[in-house]
Amino acid sequence: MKGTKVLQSFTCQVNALHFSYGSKQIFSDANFKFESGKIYGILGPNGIGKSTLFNILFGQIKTDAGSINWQIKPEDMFYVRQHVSIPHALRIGEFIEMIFRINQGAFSLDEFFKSVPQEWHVRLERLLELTPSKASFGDGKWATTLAALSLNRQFLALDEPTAAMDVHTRAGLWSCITERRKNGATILVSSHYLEEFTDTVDGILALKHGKLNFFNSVQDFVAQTGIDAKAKNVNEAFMGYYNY
Amino acid sequence: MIAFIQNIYYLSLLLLREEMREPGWLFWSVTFPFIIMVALFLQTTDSLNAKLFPIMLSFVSVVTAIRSTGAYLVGRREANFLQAFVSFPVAQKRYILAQIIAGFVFTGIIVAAFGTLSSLFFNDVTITENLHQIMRALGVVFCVICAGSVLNLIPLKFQTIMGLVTSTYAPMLLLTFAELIRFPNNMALALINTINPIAVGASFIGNNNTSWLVLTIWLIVCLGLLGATITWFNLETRWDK
Repeated sequence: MKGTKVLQSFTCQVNALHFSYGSKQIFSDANFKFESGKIYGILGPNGIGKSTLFNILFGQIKTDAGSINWQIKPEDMFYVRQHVSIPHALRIGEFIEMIFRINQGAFSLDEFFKSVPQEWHVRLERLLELTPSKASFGDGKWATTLAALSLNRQFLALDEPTAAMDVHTRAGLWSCITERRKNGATILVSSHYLEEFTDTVDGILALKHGKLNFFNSVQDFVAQTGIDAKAKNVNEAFMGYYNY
Repeated sequence: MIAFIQNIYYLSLLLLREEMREPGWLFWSVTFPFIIMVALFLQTTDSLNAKLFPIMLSFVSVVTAIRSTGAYLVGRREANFLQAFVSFPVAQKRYILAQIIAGFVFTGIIVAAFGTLSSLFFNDVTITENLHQIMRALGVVFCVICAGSVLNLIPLKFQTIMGLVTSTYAPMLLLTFAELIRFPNNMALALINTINPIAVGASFIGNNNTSWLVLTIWLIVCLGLLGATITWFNLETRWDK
């Protein structure tokens, strides 16, 4: 993303996190440390607690025990949920303007376009004029994620940002995400498209049995988990890791 | 400071635009109050006097104001919009301030339009009196918008109940019922005041004999409710530092 300033470094320490929905335990003594300027991917099957982790990190769900020590302020962070509900009476462009005016205190359409790759300008211009009912879900989410990336936050959480997107759009969005890392932003991304994490993330957090297990890369994940499962690729490693 | 004001101005415009594009806005903000006003007019043709005017105007303003900020914010909470996009205190302040301005402008336009319309019916109300009453009605609007925000003090876990209450416009229908039976003998005044405390303030402000002390106390109460709402927003989107 162009036109964004380099951000200050920070860390976030997650200590002894415990959380459960009734009798269903989601996290049990989960520990992790986020460092600035890195992209972290979150792996896990549906319902294991990926979105719950996002909500906990952003203080929207209270933990049963444990602590999260942020070295940055809430206004330096932004979280795009899995399901983006764009108000039906607003055009997508107006909605993006609203996000900026609420969270950034200012909005410039030119600046927003500068932060988006040139090749997408025509598509984006067309999309901004549409209401959510006339745009696809994937397009709405794409535009919202682009806006979030343009907000220049130190920590960004993207919950399945590429869901419902075509291959070309997904690849383009990932290039924007990796571009933000160059400015020092830390980005936490969940995805079910495991191949997206290849050569993009600096670490993978795999949720299993209430723990956050860390892997350095997709290759590391395959190497550590795929041998026993005789995995040939990342998807097979995933299946083996979660005992499918 | 200029940048802040400019941002709030444009944000208010966005919210105003959104409000006016809602499918039901024409009915609830124009048609519905108009029907009520005509009904009240027909009810009181025998004892028509200038004192009726502020009551009617206040009533219309209450109806439109309830339609705006309070119900709007509850709806937004239900849609998780506030948690998703208004997640830190500064953003909350920007959003709420813009919403109050948008609600005030929106309702103010409706009230001014109805005030002008009403003066056509009331030959014994002078233009000065009309303007005066419109100004008083705008005071009602402001207080009601502030008080309406108290709806947001209801915890999210009761959002289904609140959604039912707000989106079916139960308060307005009750208010209508009470107002329609109010005029023959004033018996319904107690009922309306019981079911809708906002109307107490509206009645005070709509009454020319109300002292400034009472008005001031009511305004402070309304602002207190608004403050409580903002505090609650902070708690709702609490940050585990």
